[in-house]
Amino acid sequence: MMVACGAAISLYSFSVFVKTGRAQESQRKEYSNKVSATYNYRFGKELPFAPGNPEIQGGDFIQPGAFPDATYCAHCHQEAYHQWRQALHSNSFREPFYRTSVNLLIKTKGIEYSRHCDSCHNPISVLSGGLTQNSQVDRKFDQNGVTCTVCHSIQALRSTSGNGGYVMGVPSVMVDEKGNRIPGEVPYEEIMNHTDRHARAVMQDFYRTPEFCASCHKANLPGSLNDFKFISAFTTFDEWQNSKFSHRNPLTFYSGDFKTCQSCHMMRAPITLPDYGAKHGTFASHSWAAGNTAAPFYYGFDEQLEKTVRFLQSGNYLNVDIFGLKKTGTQNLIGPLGSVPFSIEPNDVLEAYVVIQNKNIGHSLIPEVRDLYEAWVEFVVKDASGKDIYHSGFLKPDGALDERAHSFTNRPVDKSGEFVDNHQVQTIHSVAYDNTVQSGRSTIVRYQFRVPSDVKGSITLTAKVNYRHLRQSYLNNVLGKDHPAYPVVQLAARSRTLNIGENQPGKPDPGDNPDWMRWNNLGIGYLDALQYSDAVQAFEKVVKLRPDYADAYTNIAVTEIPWEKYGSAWDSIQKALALSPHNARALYYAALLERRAAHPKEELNDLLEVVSQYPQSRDARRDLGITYYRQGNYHEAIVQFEALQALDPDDLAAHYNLSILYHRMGMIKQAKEQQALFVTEKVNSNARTYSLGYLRRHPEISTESIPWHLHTDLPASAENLVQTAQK
Amino acid sequence: MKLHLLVRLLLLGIIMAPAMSHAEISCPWLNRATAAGVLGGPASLKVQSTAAEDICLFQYQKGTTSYDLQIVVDDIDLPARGATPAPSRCSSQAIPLKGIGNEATMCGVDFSSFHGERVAGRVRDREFVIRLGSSVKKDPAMTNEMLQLKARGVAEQVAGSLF
Repeated sequence: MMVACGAAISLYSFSVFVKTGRAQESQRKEYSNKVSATYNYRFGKELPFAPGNPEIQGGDFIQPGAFPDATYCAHCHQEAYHQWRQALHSNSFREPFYRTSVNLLIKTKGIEYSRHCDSCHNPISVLSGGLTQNSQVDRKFDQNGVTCTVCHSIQALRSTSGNGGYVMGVPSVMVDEKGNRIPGEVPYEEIMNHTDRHARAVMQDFYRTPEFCASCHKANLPGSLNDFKFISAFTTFDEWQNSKFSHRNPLTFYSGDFKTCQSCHMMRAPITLPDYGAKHGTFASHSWAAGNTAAPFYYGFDEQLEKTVRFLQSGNYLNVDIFGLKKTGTQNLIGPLGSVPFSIEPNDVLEAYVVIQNKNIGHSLIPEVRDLYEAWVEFVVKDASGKDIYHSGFLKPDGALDERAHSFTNRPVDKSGEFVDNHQVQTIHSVAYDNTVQSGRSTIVRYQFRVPSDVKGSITLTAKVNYRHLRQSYLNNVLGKDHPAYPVVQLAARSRTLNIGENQPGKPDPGDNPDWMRWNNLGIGYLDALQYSDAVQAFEKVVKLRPDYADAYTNIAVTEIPWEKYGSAWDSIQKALALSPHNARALYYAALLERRAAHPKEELNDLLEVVSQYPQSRDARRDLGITYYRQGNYHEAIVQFEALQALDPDDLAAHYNLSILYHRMGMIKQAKEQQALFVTEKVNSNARTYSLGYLRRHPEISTESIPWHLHTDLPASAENLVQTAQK
Repeated sequence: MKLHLLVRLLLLGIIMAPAMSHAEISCPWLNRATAAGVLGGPASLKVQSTAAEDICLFQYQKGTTSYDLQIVVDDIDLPARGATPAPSRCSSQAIPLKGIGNEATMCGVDFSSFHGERVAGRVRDREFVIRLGSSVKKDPAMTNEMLQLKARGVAEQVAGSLF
């Protein structure tokens, strides 16, 4: 009897919800019609949210109130709410560092253009039709940015092109017995009685995938935004896909455990507040600790700030290695320091080779908007009394970074060749400079200094990678010059004390890489600086130290292929394959060499094996497509390029080849689409003109943009630098 | 109602008369829908812009109770910058608000015909003052706690648009 009564009550409750749902549908229609009447459809009626990419189920604008407030969720999810309130997602719109930038866009181009940014920073404002002139949408939701029911209402992903490429459902915290979503809030009691239906409404399997993050953590500047053309903005998802953590790329220098964005940024931790979403007393972090120290510093969110700093300094993300020394005028690189004997004397002019390895970050250092974020190398040489002998990468009294520092930043420029300040991305025409270290790779930073003539005892070299969110000039633009100093976080550091006179090998620090890896990273740094001869020599050292390591041989081949030493590269690949016959990385490069040597059958077989091992490898799919195309197998070529496009909708090779292949197969409409995409997305051939204008006016950045540059205060070396550049 | 307040409101009405004649007036820092949400009902808007300052006054009348939201923005001299509200205008001690503009403070204001909260703050070289309240003291429809929360929300909107 009681069960029957309960069922009847439950049924009644659901019928009430269903009726409420219908009423909400009609309210939405009415609301949408009202918004539509005055909405600015600048980008076409069929693209109401452009230049952003979101869609919403039902197509109509949705009332902001359809998204239950975060405090509603907090009733049962206190831990999640507490974390989210301090996290960047909840402050994604209101924080001043974003507002300054988007306000300028609104003032200069119009509020409708801000849909590009707010598709991710303030989705409710976009989907409710609030971003139009004289909007009459209550903007109370601004304070919640990406609120709980934004992420938890997304029903599908449009693509991995970013710019808010999600499909929003009508927010719902419960489904009915048939699985239909019940819009809006329901009594907590109902949720507690049907937690499975709550979970079905608010959770999707794809929430745990990197593709979910890609909907906003990848961005481009479409022609509709900049009245110019498609420009790729940031590609964090692609960087992850190409990293060792994705297990999708056979070409990485190192291997590692599979990790997603969520593995690092949503790590489970014990709960401190009651939360029904906790499992075994732990909860997936909704703090999303990453690099932003500015917003928690501004809001006084000490817990979030502390989590962020701890996150940045944990994880063994970077390795700093003061690898070696070169005495100016000699060719001998003394290294790895700590493993070889050497001597230094007063008056020696030394070049220190610092190798920075992006060891365990699943994306570039620093990802996304490097025009605002500021990571750099600080290198200091001190004598035994602590007095500076050389210092690069210091902060000046006004808080600005030494402009000659080796920084992991970029310089987007407008059509006048001027730096695009204040993140006015709609004016970007080119990027004059973009320095980063991609996941798993290394960079060499060289510093030159003179050992003082009167030096006694020892000198100490320290290299640090520092990070500040955000660069000082942007902080000044946002807050005026009288703001407090924003946090500078030391991400990684290494010091070495060198005796004046003889130095003997010593014990490594616990955080040091083994010597074979130090050589390997040096080789990777040389390779990326296009110093092929030195790279091969470094990789040969790896072979000597680890003759069992197949990748050491492959690394030599990887260097020799662009150096056009194909015979030698082939020998190295064969050695790698002898050690590891099914090594996908070696097979991939073997295929490239076989293509050059006109061995199409072997080329095809090797690439097929790579694709069978790594079906989500962009490079393997691309090259297999090219192989099929060259062999006249257009059908299979199309299959490969379409698979590539599924991995990266913006791959230029896919657009280009598909445009030709479709045409040959008589698929004219598709061919035209791909052709148009290729023309739109390819790098503008005039871009360099804008960049060069900037570089001419900024010699400090011009110097930095030379792969093989030297940081020095010694005047004579400036000539050497120019000579090196001229070579 | 005290005489000086009556005079001020009268003057404000006279000054704002030309602005009211426009069919479409808007406040640069807060739209009418958001103001209505804050005040609890449809709000009228009066806007005044002078060389010295810009003022928006939203009002919602419910029966005999009047709910007012006033926003004043002006440029400040750099040496004199600061968001400390004039003590004479505060009926309670000003408390600093974190995360509103460069800095901001909130205090209570209590006149015979206006009881509410006042937020004064700064964004770079512009200062703003927000006054939100009801004509009824201890209005159950707009408790002190609600007023503070709403005033803070409005201040955040205004500061956000000034960045």
